[in-house]
Amino acid sequence: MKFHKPQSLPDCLCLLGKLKDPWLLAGGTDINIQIRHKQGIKDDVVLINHLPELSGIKIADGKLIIGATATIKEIADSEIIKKECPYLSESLVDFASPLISNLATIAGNIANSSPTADTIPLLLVLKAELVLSSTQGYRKIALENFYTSYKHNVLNPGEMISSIEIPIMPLDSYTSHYVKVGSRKALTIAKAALAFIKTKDEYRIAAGSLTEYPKRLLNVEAYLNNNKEIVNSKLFDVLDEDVSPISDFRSDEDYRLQVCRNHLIKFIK
Amino acid sequence: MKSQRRKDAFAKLTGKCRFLDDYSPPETLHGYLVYTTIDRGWIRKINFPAGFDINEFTIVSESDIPGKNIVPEPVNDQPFMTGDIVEHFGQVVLGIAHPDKEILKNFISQVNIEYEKRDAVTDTKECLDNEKYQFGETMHLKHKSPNTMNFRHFLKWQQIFYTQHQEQAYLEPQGMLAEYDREIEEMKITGTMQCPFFVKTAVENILGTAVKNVVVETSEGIGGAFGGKEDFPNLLAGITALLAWKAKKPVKIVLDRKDDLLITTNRHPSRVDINAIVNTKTHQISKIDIDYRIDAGGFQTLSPVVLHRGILHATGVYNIAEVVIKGALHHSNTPSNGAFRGFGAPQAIFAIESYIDTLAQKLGISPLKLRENNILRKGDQFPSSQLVKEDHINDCLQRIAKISEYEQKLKDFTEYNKHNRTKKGIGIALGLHGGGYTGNGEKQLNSKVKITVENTGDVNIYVANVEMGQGAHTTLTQMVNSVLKLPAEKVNVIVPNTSKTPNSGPTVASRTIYIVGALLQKLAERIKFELGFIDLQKYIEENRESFPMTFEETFMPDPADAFDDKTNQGVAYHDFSLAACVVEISYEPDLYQIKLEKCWNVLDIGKVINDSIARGQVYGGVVQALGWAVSEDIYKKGYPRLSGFTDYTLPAALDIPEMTVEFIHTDSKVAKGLGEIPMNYPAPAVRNALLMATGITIDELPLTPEKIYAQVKRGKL
Amino acid sequence: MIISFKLNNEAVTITTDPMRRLLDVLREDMKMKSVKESCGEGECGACTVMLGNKPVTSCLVNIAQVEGKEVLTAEAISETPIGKLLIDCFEETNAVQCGFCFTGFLVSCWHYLTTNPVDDVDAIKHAISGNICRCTGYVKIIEAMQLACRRINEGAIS
Repeated sequence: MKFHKPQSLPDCLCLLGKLKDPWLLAGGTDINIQIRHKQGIKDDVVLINHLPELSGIKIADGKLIIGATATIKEIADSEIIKKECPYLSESLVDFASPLISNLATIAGNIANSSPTADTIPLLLVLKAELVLSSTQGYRKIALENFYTSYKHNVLNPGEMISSIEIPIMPLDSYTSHYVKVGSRKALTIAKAALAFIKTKDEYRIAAGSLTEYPKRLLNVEAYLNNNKEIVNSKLFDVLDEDVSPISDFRSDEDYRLQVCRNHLIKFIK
Repeated sequence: MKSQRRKDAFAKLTGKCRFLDDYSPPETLHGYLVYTTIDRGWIRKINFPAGFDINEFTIVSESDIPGKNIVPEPVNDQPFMTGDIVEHFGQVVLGIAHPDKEILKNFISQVNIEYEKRDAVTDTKECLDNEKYQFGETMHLKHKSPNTMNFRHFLKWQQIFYTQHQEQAYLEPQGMLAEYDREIEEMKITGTMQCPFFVKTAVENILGTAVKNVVVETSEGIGGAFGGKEDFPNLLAGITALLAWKAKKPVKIVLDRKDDLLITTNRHPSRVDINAIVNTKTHQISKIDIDYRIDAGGFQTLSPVVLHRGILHATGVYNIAEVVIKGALHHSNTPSNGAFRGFGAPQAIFAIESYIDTLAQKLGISPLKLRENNILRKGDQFPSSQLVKEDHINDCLQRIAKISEYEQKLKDFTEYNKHNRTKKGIGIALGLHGGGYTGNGEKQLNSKVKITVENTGDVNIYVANVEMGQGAHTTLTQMVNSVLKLPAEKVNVIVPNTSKTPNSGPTVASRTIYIVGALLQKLAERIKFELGFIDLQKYIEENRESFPMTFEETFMPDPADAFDDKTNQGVAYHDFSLAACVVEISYEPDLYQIKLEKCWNVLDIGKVINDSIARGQVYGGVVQALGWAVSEDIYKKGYPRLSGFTDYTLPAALDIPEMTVEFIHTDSKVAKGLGEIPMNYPAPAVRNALLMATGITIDELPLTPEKIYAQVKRGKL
Repeated sequence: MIISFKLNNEAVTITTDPMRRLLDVLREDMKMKSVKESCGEGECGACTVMLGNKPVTSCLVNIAQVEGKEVLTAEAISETPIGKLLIDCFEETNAVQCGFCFTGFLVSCWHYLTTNPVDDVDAIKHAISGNICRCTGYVKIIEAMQLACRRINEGAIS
């Protein structure tokens, strides 16, 4: 594996343009596990954690702008986010452990593209957008359009996530809920995760660990948005269209589906 | 006695205490193991990868063994390495050493073994359910009290309980260092282990007459063991020694966590079938039939000893007129199982204590009342016919009921649950653990201890028992010093080394304080008597020329303690430690999850030498038992095993309940065993709390949300 | 690659593979044996060190990421006033058992005590939620931490 340390963001983007599918090393909490398990080791690794352009949390144009290398702990502790979007900061308090969340970055969690990633369901219901940068400039893409299949995302060669943008909503304009089902309180991979937001106009629901990549439950949302009366059995039928839980060593299909149903009902009430 | 500060804490906190991986003599080679990756069959060919200079490596296989290819165990059926027959995943095939750790790891990851597979049984339930997988000796315990009688109103009830493997998960992985001194033909082993003399025998076995002498010393710090370092170190040390002997250089093997999880010993999974007859008028169990089975894995090794303890604890703390217990070992093609805190008793007690609560439900009486009607009282007999000399079981039961307010909460929670979605539950369980080796074991061990009094005024204690975190060494010094009354820093335990310490037996079976400590205290009293001092420090100052002096003592069993291994009648354990526990839970129905809220513990371990160390042992053991009860499952859903802490989830700080610990009858003269009992009783208390809170019966550990949901779905309440 | 950083308040420069784990550099090159490897995947906290002002699992940190930063291990932390106070509290409660996880706890706990030493069981549990102990059941660790908080808040450290 060849190691690269770009001196600046433009330098980094230039490097990405030249290298074929490198690893981008920010916190290292996913990459170092993959190295340990000898899984999918890439030919090149590019360090990005030191680039100041990728760090920080600020507000601009009514949006939260979170740098790619902002750590989960920085997000959970950020005064700006606690004020403007406590749903996000509070939901990330028990992410992994304090030791890991001091290293893990938001872009790393997104780019790793795991169906069990903890930040993604939250960002989906917050309608987050990713800013993807390359030597050609940048483009924005809604997070809900970022994944195409299991562990696959739409990053083009030479592109990287440089920041995440979250529209700020007035706190009294929505209610929210987040549940992560694990085998213990912290330091656990989600068996199932659900993020909910309800605004005046719409329901937004996203699931983690229940589909090949974290998704908005569009059929469930449509059903809830368009029906004044909710019939549980109908709701569950629609839910079946949106989630496909599996049985694996962490949990089983029946259990995952049922907790999903229970929390859906709980949130609607 | 006051809670003296542990002597080893400072070195451990500052990083100065050396654990095995901190030892690196010059020229030490890194060693590692190559093990089988099929469950059963034969090895047909071993292929080494290209691109390496094979001459840089030292490789040993079973054909290199100059001595015996047998790991010393109670049953000598396990080889150090196999050349062809594969009985389970994780059987060692080769030991390999190289000066560079990375090159070694790369080489090993590319070693390819060609196998011919055979049908294997790896599903533990399938193994335990079928008698065709039984192997080794069966054990029997039958007892009929003289005052059995027939009665008209009775209930017959059968229930089967299953428990799963459990990984000890000591934070320090297994490791050994072997250094061969060619001049004097002496092999020195340093490592993380519980039983230096077992390891010595193992290395003597594998090397035979190829070396003149074997010396084994424990590392300064042993990072946890819990039984997991009782016998696996024998195998590891043997292979490390063989490598060092062949390489003529020191070799150190430290297992990666992944391999430690995959191939080392685990707690035996169990299947306990209880069938009893209860008098529905008196609510007394009059006859009980227990079929106790444990899965030994690929080889028997020490499983018969686990089985023995299991059947002797199968009726728990209960007085039952007619008892028929059968114990059997079953053979699956999984890594051999071994010792883990409790050693067969937690499995037995999970079954009987859960059975009692279900019985209470059937009889329509409170679990507390049913226990009161059935516990052993003073003058009763254990199924081994051993007399119960005191009424302490009842004392534990009454005390736990009082401090936990069990009866009141039972009423309150039952009412609360009628009107609330989240449920509250309270569960009770009683436990016991016989101290020391079973039956004639201590007599056969014939433990010896030594104390030297130096002319500097230092007193050195020589025992083979190790400090593995349990506070043994500090406690032993306190016991000796309670007699000698020197300044605390003057009395120390020497790091166990087989060339310096006598064989006081292994650090197992809750015997270190109970047997070895008592022996040391007896020796200290003899020293005081023989020297006739009032103030030892002054005496030494005044008689310096007479010192150093060496004193030794050998264990003397109580002549009244007779035990028949075949009929299992007699004194199984001279003293039993006792315990009672109440666990309070809340149950979240949307997640089908148990939350552990509170846990009260009352223990009778007799005299408590160091209160804070003793409490620490209870907290630690209880949390391990709670992990076993609700979340730890190394096979999770099926096979293969988990190989990382990511998914073998141990209890972390946010998962523990509030806990209290109370010791009773501490005015006793005898300090009984403590190490294991905390493991024996919490799991059924949780299971019973779940039953009370929800009506859900689960007879299989761990009590996962998935299992709970499956019961809810089936409507099985 | 040449990496310069501060280790236990002393400037250090090494030449090594940038992807090497900080854990290995500390144990093998710097002889900081207090840093332990137990799981290798960030799940147990036995390898916890301070990186800048954050406690992290050093098994997941590549040495390249340490350039220009400050690393503190138990060797140095045990010499600080709060480190000594904490050690005293651990000793007084007999919280230490096998000790293998304890240098990791020392770092996480020290960080808590030096940033916001609140005597609150829940906050303490969160602070140590990434450190696994198999021997103690955590009760006495929390007890020792509460004792340390009380002493600090009563002005034990001037």
